[in-house]
Amino acid sequence: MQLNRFEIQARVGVSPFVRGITPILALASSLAITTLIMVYLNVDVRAAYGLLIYGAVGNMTSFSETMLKASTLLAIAVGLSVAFRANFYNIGADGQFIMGGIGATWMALTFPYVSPVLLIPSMVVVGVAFGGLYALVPGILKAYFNVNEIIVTILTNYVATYFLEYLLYYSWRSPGAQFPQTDIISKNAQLPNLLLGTRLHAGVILSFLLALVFYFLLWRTRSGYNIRVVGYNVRAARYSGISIAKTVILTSLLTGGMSGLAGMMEVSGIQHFLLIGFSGSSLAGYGYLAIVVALLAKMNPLYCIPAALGFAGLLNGAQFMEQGGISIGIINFLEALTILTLLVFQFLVDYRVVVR
Amino acid sequence: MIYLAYEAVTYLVSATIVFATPLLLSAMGEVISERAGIINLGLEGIMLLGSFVSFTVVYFTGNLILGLVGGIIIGALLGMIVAPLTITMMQDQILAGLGIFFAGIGITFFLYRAIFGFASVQPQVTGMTEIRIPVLADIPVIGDSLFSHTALTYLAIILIAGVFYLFKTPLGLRIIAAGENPYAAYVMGSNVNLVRYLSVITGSILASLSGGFIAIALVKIYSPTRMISGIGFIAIGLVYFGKWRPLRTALGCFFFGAMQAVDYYLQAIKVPLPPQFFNMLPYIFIIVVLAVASRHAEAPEFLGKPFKK
Repeated sequence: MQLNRFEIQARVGVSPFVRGITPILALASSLAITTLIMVYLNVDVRAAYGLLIYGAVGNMTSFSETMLKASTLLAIAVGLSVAFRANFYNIGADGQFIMGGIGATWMALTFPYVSPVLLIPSMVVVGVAFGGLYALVPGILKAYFNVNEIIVTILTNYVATYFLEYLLYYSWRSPGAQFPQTDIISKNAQLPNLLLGTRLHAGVILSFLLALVFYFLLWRTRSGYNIRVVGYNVRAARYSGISIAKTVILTSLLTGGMSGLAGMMEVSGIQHFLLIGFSGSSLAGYGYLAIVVALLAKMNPLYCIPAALGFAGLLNGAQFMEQGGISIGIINFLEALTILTLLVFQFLVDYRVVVR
Repeated sequence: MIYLAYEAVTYLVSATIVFATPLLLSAMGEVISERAGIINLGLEGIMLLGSFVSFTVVYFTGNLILGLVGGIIIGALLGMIVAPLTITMMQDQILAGLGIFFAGIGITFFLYRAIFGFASVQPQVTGMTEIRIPVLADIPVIGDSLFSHTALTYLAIILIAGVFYLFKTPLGLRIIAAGENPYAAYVMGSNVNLVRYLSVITGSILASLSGGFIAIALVKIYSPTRMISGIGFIAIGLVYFGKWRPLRTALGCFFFGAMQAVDYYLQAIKVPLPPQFFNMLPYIFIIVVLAVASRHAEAPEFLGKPFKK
């Protein structure tokens, strides 16, 4: 293997525009590659994309479903953006989402007749707290015990999944239901509907608002500044007197809280009961998909909005495609391809290859 | 009573070794890779693809060797994706690993549906059989549990010694240097990137074999969603627990294997606890172990960092 026939040089003065469009290029080329594979597999590509687009924005129902999925992805991705900026690699959003859903359901099942004015805010608080505290475990372990958070957050996903299964098979199982799931939560525990005939709920607005709030938090507050410095250069942060441990703890609470909130909204706004795989199936779980959303958005809460909308459309479209005989696994493949091509494009933007 | 105790001991010893095997294979590979400075977080994805390829080849050809060769090839191919991205292109190793993880989930699920369809009965293979080592396997009480295993288990055991010895050889020192101080290694005339490539690809091949072991020697049934379920990530965790040293990591693998063995034993003798409790125990356990062991862990200095000439 001759590796020194070419030389890699850093590029200087790359325009922000070129940097800005790399995620779009990465997504576009991933879609192109996926299309080529579908052609190779003799899939009717036009029909497939017809289904995809119809499933994403074809009519009011699919459009509203895309908005719903986008709000879920957005809430998680915004939290992940903060975490990744602080170099807290939270891969455990799926577990925190599940815990948030569990917390909210617990409130809903315990106090079904309390007025919604009181019940829904308390479900939000408990959902956020469950998600946040669940992420606090890897946070504390990273801050005070020097434990790698990537591994711990991934492992907590499995624990949360089994905990959910336990609740659904034993404590909370609805007696009449065919599948393991809870009873439908009372009307008081359901987020108010925004548009009749769709499942759009008030939480959707909250998600989009929180994206703005988190943008403000990152760039206009002291905590946000600390988070960015810790992520950018731990040593510089330490020398300037920023507490690394406190920043990590805060970050873990924020990212876990946002995932928990998304879980709460899924139960209270969309499903209205707790079921296995309510984080969007173990295959394309929202917690994992949101990582790709945050990366494409370059960990900027504002850019998360278009990225979340795009991926939500793809997700809904892919579910439609499955009815056309194309496996939902394609969406994970697309996720993978998007990350990997994004890395390649970033390399091409940052460096030039000179062949000798 | 004595017979029951005998049964329990032989089962536990044998099962510990069996459960430790996939962990040993992937963790030893990850030790090599991380010592060279590259975190291969895609282990889980590589194991998924390795298990799928090995299983499918064995399912259709019935040839175990071909199945393992298929696993080796797919492992090497995936290594050839991780390595250029993280080494030549100097990109974030965590993201590259996540990409491979997602690819593993997506491709195996997609191909499973394409090849095996929606059949309600999961596909099955006869799989690997145990090889009894003559004389040693006839030792009373423990002989059978210790010396009657599949070829891959023996490979895993040899691997421990192999990796331990590797780090004493000039090549091994180059690997360590690539992870501790690649600039010094470069000045000393070592081709750092080549060393890193080889380490990552070796680790990927071993992870793929580990997936193959699970598919064709351990469970022998393929289920698209819960084939590996975190073993790859646990292996990475055990490397951290082992502080990047082969023997300590191997010890962790056996310890974890024993945990799983006890887990299954308690389930088998019908301890009245829900199965989910046993399912989540290993994950909680490894988190606790990491919390206890990581305090003063010193990672290779350039772990996770690209080497920019």
